[in-house]
Amino acid sequence: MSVDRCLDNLDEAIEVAKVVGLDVRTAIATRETARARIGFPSSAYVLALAGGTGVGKSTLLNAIAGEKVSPASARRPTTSNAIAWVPSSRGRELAGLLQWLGISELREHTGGALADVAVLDLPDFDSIAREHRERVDALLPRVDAVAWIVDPEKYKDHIIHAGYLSEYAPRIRRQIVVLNRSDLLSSADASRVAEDMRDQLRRDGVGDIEVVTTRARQGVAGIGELSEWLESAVEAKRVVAARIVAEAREAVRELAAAGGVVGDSPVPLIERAHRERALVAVAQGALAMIDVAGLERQAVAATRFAARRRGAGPLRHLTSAIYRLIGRDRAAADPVGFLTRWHLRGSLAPAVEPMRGLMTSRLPEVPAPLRGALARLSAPASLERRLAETIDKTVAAEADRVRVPTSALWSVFGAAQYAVTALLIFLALWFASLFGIRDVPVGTIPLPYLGPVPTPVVLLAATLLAGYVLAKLLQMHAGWLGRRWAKQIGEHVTRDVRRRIDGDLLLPLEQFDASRVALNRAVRMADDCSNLSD
Amino acid sequence: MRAVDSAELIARCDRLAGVAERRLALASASPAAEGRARQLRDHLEGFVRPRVADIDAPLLVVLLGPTGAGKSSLLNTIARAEVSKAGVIRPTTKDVVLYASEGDAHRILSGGRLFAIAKDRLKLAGASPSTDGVAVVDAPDIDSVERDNRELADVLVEAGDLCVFVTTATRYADLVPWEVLKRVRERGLPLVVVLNRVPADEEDREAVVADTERLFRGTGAKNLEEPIALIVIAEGDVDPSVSGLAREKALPLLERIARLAAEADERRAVATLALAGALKGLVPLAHAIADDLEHEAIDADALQRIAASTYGEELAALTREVQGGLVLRAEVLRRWNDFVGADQVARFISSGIGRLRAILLTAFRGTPVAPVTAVEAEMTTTLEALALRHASEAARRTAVAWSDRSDAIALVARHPDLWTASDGFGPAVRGGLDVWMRAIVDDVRSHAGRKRAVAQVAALGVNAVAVAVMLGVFAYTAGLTGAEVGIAAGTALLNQKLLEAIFGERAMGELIANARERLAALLTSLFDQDRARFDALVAAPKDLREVAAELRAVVDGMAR
Repeated sequence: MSVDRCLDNLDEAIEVAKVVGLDVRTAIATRETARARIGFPSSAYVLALAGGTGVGKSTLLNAIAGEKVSPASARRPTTSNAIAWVPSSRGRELAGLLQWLGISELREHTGGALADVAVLDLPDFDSIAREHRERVDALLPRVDAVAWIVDPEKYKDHIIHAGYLSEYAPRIRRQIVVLNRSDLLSSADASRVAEDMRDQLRRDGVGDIEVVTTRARQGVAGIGELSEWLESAVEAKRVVAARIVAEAREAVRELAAAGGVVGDSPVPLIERAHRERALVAVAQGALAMIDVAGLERQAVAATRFAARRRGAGPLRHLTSAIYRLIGRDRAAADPVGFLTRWHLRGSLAPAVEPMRGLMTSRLPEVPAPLRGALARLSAPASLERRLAETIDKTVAAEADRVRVPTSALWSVFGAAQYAVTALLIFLALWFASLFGIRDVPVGTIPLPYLGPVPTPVVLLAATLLAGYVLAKLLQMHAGWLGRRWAKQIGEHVTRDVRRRIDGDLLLPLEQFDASRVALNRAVRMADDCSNLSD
Repeated sequence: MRAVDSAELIARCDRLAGVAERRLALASASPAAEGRARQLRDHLEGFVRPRVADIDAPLLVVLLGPTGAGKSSLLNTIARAEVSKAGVIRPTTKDVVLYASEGDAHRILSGGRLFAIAKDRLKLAGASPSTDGVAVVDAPDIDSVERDNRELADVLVEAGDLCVFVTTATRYADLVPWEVLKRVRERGLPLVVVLNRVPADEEDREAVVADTERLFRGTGAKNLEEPIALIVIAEGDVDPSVSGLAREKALPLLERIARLAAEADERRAVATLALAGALKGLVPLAHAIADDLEHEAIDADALQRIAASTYGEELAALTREVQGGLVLRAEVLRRWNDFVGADQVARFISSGIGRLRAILLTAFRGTPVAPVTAVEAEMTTTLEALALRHASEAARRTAVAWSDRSDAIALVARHPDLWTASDGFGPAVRGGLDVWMRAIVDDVRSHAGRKRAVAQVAALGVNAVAVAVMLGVFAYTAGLTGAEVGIAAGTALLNQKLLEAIFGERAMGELIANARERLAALLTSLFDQDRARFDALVAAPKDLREVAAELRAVVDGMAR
């Protein structure tokens, strides 16, 4: 049913309005009222006679009823509690509805042409009895149709136009303006006044309301036009539905108007190009915190450390133990630890500054009720929190992937270093035997410039040189491997941070924009809905 | 009214009008309060002052009432001619019609009685010289869709000597006219009520008249016993020849006006009565305005306090962050560390062989160039961002808190820039830091008094030493909790050693303390400036209280 669809649309509008920080209390009250009204039977509708004191509301009801149902008097104000004139056939089924309306004074009638309408004679809304106005204001949102009663004296009062017609009329489908007491005027004057009233209604923005003239004091004879309108074939169910739909539509419109999104679909708050530029700047700031250059140093050091373990021969036990002891392995060769400690390397404030500046520059362009929510989104603390989460995610993903590279070559180096060490031991034994056992003959090797040099000395020098060259080669290879790997990590982190920042950082802003678009769409939905129900 | 004190009274009126004017210049969140202040000013300038100055000036009779009650018709009856347009289309009168003889009109206008009414809304209807002494003003209605009519009527209520309040049997219990009438009674204006369009039916007629008398006597509680001069005109009692009311029904009023025109003593009596009532009415009005002011002062205090406390909290948080050492990014710090850790710089710190080695290295390679620009730029960017972060948050929190208050929500809505730090805040931070850095350079120069220090500062460059001092501000006593051990702590340590070697411990402490104090002062003044945007939106509580006190002082003197 279309009424349900309209109310669902209102629900949705309320939800998205909350996202952009609008005050939705009125809309919720409207929805509750509408839902409550649906809960009561709609086989008859409730028509209220509303107007200032002395315009003849009670007299008019008496004329409609053809008997005295509501006391009319010259004393102002007369009616202080609403009186309901109800078809007796509907008395029982309307009891709950009337109770919800807060009406205790009932007059029953046999019905006839008006068998599906309950007429309420309301108190005035313009007298010194302020509680009358309060009662009217409490009742009007709950009635299904209204006849606005004016007279030649009061038809242009500020209160009825500014306080009631332009406020309530857009929310009501079945309504009419009655220029009562027109017997005070000549018929030419009466039609001039009616025309002037129509002009004013147009200025109020509710120009489509019909204006009829009545002379309630003359009884049934004086209210011909009004009776015609009252008896015109309308289905009560449709009156009730149309009223609810109109209320829902106005509630949605009001939300959209407060959010400044009536009319064309709203464009994103931040232009694409500006947004891209700011995101690049934010990513740069984030990378500066991660310190990619530092990370690369760590990666190289870690690779070298790994290479030493496998390719440094037996002596590496000694150096590794020393490094472990002084903690250098963790401090200088721990890319994972370095990554996860990114937040200790400074403040994110400079990183989010470009985005904050960009977002706050839009504040004057959104309507005042939205600014609180936008200011919250662009608050540096919340941007920083979001950016930190993004970096943490990147770092966690990256840390899982970190595998220090390795190479089979290192084992070859290691084996060679073992050979070198063995040779050194052999040479040491040789030297020892030279000193221990006298007159062992030693060969010499003639070297250029130096002449003949004893073989063990040459061998020792050559072995030491080989050991040194091997160590250097290992270091160079590990360095080359490490740098290549470090570059990969660096590029990966950079790419990942950029990608995640693009996707994540502005999610709340996108939600904000999406909600504005949804609110705008809800207006069109509400319009469609109310057109359908007509 | 004795003539002797009139000069003093005029002086008091002027003083009071001056205070009212001052009050109007102060921003007010309540239209009602502003209305009262305007009322006082209009009343003083439009009535009290001219009336005190000349008790024999023409009487101003003001016709007031709701739309369609027949004010214009009544004026036509008084004038015996159609001087004001009456008709069925509401509202009929949008202008103020002044019905007076040429001489009276001149006296009234030059006397300033109608000063608040725009020339183009004032229509003159010439009366014969025989009406000299009494002028009648037809005010526009007070309750129709034309809202500026109401403002004109309000001004006229303050300017008249005699009010003729025209209403009808339908209207007499309407709220809007009732409130205007209440003001008429409060300001002690002599009143005649014309009840128009009373039903012909005898019973209804009696009921309506009795009810009207009962109701009207209730307005302005003080005058309960005073009878209301009530003139009753029935529905259809009209004089179509002038589009006016029937003469014979309005006769009591017409006679009264005629008598006033004829007898100067009578006029003077009415004027004196109106003036006495007005002076009596000034006191409660002035006190009511003073009450408004005092309430506003309390509200303004509260609003300013909200701004002060949020800004204070955020400034404290910023100060903590700055002193926590978490200011500079490791990336930049490392470059500084490389500089102060270089052997060539270490020669100032180390001794023995290390020193010898450092001196030799310096001889070969020269002193390395300090990354002064990079560190300064980093410091500026970071401090600016941190300050902006906290100032924006302070502004946002203040705006949120203000938006929750009915007296400030409109202010926040009118100024979208309140939701974040002002546009000039970032540049102001940068400018301030620039000055701060230059001051540190000057400090370093003036502290390098000792011979050795002069040479060392010269060798490193005065700017580099200044940067070392700046870094000392952030990391000197910070304890460096949380900062990545290594770069930050290492840099701080080296920095400190370097400065100590150059200046000695005491001078170093002084340099850093000076720099820190100046930074704190800079940030405080920047935050104060940003907060001043909020403070400026509400009137200063001190001013409000001053004006209130003066108001009370002036009228207290008057009451005596």
